[in-house]
Amino acid sequence: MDFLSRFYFNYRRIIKTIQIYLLLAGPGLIVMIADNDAGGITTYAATGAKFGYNLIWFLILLGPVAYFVQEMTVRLGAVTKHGHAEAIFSAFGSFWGWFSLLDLSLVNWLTLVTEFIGMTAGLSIFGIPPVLTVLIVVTIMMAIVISGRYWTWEKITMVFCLVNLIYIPAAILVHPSVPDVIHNGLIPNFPGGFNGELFFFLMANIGTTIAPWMIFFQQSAVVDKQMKEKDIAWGKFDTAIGAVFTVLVAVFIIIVTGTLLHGMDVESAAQAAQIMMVTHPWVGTMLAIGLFDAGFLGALCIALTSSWAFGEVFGWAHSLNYKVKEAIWFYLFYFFALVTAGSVVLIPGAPLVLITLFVQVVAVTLLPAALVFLIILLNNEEVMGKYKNTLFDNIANITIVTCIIVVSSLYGISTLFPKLFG
Amino acid sequence: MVFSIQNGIIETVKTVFANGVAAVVAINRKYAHPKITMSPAVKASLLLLRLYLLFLVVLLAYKFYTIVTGGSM
Repeated sequence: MDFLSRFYFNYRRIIKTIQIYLLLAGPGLIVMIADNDAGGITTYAATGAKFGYNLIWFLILLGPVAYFVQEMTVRLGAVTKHGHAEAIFSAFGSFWGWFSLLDLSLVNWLTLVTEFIGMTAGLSIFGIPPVLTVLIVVTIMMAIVISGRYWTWEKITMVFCLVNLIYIPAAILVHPSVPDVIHNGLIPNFPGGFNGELFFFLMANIGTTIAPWMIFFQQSAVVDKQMKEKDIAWGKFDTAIGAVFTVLVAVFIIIVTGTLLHGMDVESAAQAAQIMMVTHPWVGTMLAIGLFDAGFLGALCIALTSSWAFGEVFGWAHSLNYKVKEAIWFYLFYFFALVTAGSVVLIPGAPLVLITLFVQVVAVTLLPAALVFLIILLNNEEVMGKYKNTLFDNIANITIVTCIIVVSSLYGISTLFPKLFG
Repeated sequence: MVFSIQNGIIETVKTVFANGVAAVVAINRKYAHPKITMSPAVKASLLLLRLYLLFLVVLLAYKFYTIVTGGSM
């Protein structure tokens, strides 16, 4: 009887814990899964095709890296109740504020274009013309945000996050050799030695793990969700769960392309899906659906990031809890970003490859600044109070941020000068 | 009432532009002074950031130069 009552008590406690988590889950999970956007899926697909399972260990290492950076935004948002753009203006003045805001809007818009490239490429595999894809996507994205409730937006977006897990059944369908995955993938190694090409792929994978919009997005989402200091632990847990999922998705994409396309040079996830449609139609279909979903999630979050940032700085009503007529500029900005970015993809002969490359270069100009501001703000006792960085936080965060800055800068430079690293 | 380009479009654009400029001026005034304490570490970080951005600008200018002059790297 004692055993039964204890069992029931523990069962109720676990159910209660899950219920609380589901209430507070959202920003961390969404930002991490949306991190695997169209560009990310392409990077993982190309990495798997080029190096097989050999770089899985490296992607697993990137999970904690993403977590440590993003959890800082949870604390900063919950304590200051300001988004990152507003926090930069307030703390560092208008020069750094304008620099961050304008750079963010440029890099976000360019990234939005790449998300539309991914979405149109994904659906074109099923014969859907790009113009229809853009129209449908923009309509759905407007419908999602106009509910006037952050909660509704968040839960709908989490359904799209679930679709992102489609790569897991896809990987099971290709029947990978589990001993090979464990032996080649989990033991750190540099396939073919450490050369320029491998270095480029490592940089690309790091570059796709942390993007400037993620920092701004999660902090604004934490504020819009009205999370408080007491919710920080849950926010961090949410971010950790998200980091696990982002790594899982990346690893399973590598398993798919590493099994079916090993040794091939794949230029995009759409190309990988097209090749697979011939030999493994189900897997190709899943890859195409996953690519569309990744682009969709990325676009949804990135367009909102810019709207939140401009709303914070210009003082517009900038919450998903407002109806359209209450926050007209916020929603107009969101709509404008989506429509213009979607339209670029439809222009015949538009320099889409150039735009994709340019994203990396522009991101490099913003990411170091955003990360440095984050560290400075998290170390300021006046701003953070008892939630400021501990010594351990600083050792971990400064090490990670330094590595990200160096590697992402090298990635941006190698995009500008492709022959630099051989 | 006759529609005129002068009143219908140009004036609207002027008003929107003037409002935009006024908003930017107000933001600049509001955030004129950084609120964070400028400790030596913060000053050094911001200086390094400026130098880093300058370095990137020089790189971009060089890339532009190589494209214009037809060189490659």
